[in-house]
Amino acid sequence: MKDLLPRIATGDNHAMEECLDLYGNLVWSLARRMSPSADADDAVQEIFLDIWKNAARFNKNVASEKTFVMMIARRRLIDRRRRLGREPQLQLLDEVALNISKQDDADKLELGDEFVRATRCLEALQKEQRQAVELAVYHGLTHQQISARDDVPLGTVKAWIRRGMIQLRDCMNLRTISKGDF
Amino acid sequence: MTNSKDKLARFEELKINRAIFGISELELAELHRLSKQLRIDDIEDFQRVTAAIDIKFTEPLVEPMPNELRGKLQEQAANFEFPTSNASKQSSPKDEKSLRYKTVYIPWLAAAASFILALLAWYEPMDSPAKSITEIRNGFLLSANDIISIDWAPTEAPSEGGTSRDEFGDVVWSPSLQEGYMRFRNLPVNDPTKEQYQLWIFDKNQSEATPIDGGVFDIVSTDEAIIPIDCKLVAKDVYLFAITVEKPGGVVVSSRKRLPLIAQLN
Repeated sequence: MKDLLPRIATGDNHAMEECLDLYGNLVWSLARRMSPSADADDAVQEIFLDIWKNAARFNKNVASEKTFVMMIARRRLIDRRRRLGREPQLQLLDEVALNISKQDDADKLELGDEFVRATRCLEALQKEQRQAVELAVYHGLTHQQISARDDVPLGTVKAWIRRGMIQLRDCMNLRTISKGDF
Repeated sequence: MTNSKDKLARFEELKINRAIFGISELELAELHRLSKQLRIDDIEDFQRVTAAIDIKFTEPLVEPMPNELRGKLQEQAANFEFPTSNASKQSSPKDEKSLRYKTVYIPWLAAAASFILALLAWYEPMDSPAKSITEIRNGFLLSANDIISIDWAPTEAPSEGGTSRDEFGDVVWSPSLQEGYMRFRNLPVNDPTKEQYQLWIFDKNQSEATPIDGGVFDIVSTDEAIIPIDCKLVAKDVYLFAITVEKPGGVVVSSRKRLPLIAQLN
């Protein structure tokens, strides 16, 4: 499905339904992970309203539609989590989940360049950096929680995440935009 | 923050924290300020990174959305009211010249404008950065559900600054957000080249001899001042806030000789 968001921006209600079909399950799964189940319904409704309202902001030269949708969804869920003062529980983590990036993604190549780049770039990180990024991004753990969980100094955790994120950005070569570009 | 390298490091830190953990309104305002100072417009690069890698994390474990929720969303989609679009407006050119202008030039201008707006949209904040410290504090008070609020009280300790019963203010703190603000009125103005105020946070998880440094700050007027708390460590079980007067830049351990204000949780 191409150019869905620009169609939504022009007021195409049919495109909104297609958007639900295409990204609904992904957004729902993300909301289930980042919110308690009782809150996920409301969160998903807020996210799709945000997507529709902000559809005109999408620029395919900067990122894919899926990344744009995910960016809005993550932002909304992080805001909700901060607003409600929730923190994930350490005991919910397990090694299976931690090793999620080690799955064989060869059969997912059709999902698009960004997915492939994300996989390869994550694999290129040092083990400690990759694990810290996963714990923070996927499990939503704070610096302090990762520090306590792995029994490493807080400053070390911050450095792992910072260096890992900068390396990921450079590796994924996500286009940086500036006013000087046009 | 004295040089561009420090500013850039802080800019990157704020962008990363925003993408992974979220940041406060105050930090968001700082991020926009740094963006302007550094002339770097893209403040969402790390959000795109986390979005892309989260797709990688989430895709293999995707589960179907409940039908009831899908139904609600379909209904909302059908009833969604879009902002009025210029595209729907009809025009009727009055003469051939204006018709030619509209048919030849306007589409190009519109396309160029759309392109510029689309690019701008990627770094135009979806949340307003232009908020005063009062608005930021008010937003904070509405955003967290575990805020503690304590009034400042003058101490009995002698003070060159001249503490008095007229001093007024309070401190608010959210353990979950690790964010808080101090409000002062009638606190003596300090000369930052000679001394600065410093906040100390006493937490049950920290020795009383070594409270957490809450940052140094200046009072430039006896009117109401709101100062954000710059807590250097995690403070989950706070029972006391204390203000001392220290040398410029603050100290690691305070002698507590000049202790104008405290705020103690009952």
